[in-house]
Amino acid sequence: MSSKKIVLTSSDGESFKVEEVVARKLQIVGHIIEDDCATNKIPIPNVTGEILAKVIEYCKKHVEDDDDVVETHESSTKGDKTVEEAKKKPDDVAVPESTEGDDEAEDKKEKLNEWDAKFMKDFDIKTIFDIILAANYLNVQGLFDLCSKTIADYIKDMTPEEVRELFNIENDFTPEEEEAIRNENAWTFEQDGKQQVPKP
Amino acid sequence: MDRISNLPDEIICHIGSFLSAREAAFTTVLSKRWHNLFTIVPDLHFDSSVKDGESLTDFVDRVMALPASSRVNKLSLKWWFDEDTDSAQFDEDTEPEDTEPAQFDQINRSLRVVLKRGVADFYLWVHGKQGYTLPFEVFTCETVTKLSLGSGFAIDFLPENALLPALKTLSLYHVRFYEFGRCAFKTLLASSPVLEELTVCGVNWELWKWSRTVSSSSLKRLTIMRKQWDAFDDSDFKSISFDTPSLAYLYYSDYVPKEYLSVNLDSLVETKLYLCPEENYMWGKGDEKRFNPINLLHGLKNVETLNLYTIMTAEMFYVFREALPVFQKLSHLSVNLSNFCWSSMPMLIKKAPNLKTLNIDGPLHYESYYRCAGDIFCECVSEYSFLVSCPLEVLKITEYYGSFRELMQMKHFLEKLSCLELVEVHSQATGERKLKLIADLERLPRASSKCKFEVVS
Repeated sequence: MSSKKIVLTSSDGESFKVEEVVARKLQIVGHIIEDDCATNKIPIPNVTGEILAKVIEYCKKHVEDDDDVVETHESSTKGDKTVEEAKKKPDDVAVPESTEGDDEAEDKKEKLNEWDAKFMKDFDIKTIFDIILAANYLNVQGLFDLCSKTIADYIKDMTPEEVRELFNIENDFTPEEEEAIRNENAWTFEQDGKQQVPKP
Repeated sequence: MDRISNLPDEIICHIGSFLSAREAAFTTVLSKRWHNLFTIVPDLHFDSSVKDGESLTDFVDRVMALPASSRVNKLSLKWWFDEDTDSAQFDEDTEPEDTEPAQFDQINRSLRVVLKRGVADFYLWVHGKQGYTLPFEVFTCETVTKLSLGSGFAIDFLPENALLPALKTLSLYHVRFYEFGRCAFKTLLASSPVLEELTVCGVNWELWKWSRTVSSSSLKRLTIMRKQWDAFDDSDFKSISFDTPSLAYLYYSDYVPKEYLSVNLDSLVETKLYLCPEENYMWGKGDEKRFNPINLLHGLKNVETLNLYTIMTAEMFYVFREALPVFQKLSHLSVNLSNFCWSSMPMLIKKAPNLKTLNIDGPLHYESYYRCAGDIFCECVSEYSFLVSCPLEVLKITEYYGSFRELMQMKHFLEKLSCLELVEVHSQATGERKLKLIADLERLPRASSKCKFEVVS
């Protein structure tokens, strides 16, 4: 039996044909499929073609991730039970035993992380923001986390002045107000100067 | 173009959830909007011993209700097994065994939340009758700089990804370590690459299952303090090693193991020691065959300040005197010899060719009236001949009464210490009595014309 194809159309009219299993990674799409409301064509009105292409690329790569599993299954299956049992293991077993399977899973996960890092390197800040908005709207948790963490990592390595400049944040504090906040959070400013990190 | 400002609050908060407490607080200075989005909780505190205080359930609810972008500066959680409450519950046919695990679970649920989001100073005191187990998040918190753990529970396993990259101060109170595969204590220290200060209070490591090694390349201050000296079982207390090349300060108050296999204390500047061989026992003849602290004693060779603050430790130095190194850098020595014989004193003075300050905690020593009424000097001091070549500049005596016998001892100090600049004695005397003490001392002949006297009340 051939697998079902879903066509996703962006706000600017671009169409993307994807496997149903990939489309389900977009949970909002997954819900539509579950409700059996779907024809083969699903509009994504809030996301441009450029951004939707990136979201789909991520979903194709992460098609086997568990963390994005659609939670609207009404009937539980053995597969779901296995997943739930596997997730409980870290709490129940004090001493995890390393097996070959675990090593392979870890290796695969590491390669995925490398792919993620490379995937994120290509984007400028505006694109990352647009992908964050899309991932949030489409409920693609893994991509939402990945982009948010990328932005957070930029923030970590900068001074407040650099963050304002990069993200075009207006400083609406008076100098006195800013001084008061710095004093209030003096424990975070104890470190001697942050390292300069190349800006994206 | 105000790009990030177009993002809704919930997304900015989600970005913030990947920041540590310090980093999140850092961002509150960016703009008013950011300041309002990130909540810094300066002090989150729970104490189960406070009468009519907040219940554990309410505290946990309060923690769980914190927004995802909140960060805690200081978290303090103290919980004791409450005998009265649990007894009452038992009377009502409630299983007492059930209450502790349920409360431990509540405690750990709140801890997981705070530790994941970020906390700088974390104080945890859980003292229960049934075994409490720390949540793994204690060992993977990226933000904690000061960690205090107690009391009475065991740590037997650390997660594979244990790492405390910001931890500088670690205090352990009555915590025991075991090992499953990896030594938990060794792993904890290895997971703390910038650790500077370690306190192990209530140590009972003869009961631990561990690698018997205190190993840390970054550690600067170490305090080891036994609390319970009774019922000491030394059958498995064979050895301890110290691999702490950066250690500058050591406070060590404990029984000694049979031997110190390996000792690296090359940076040690100051140490205070209270070391006993076993329960209710003074070091004596024959102990040099039963114990081997030579490596520890050699490890102290660079020390500048040495405080042997009980007779026990001074006697240990005496018993192993033939293997004692020369303390070239020792400039400040404190001894508390009570009124035992000063057997160790001549030897210590000779081993410290650059001694500048001697602090005698307690009174001067002389023969007891009851044993030999006519003799003023105990034979253990050999008429103080060991003082002749000593370059001492400051002499302090913390108990001084000015008696004739004391003056006769003092005469020897003053006649033989040619570099002496200050003699400071502590006395209860005041007024004219105090003046007399000084006058009596000043009348004594002295080798150093620069010598001054002070009486401190």
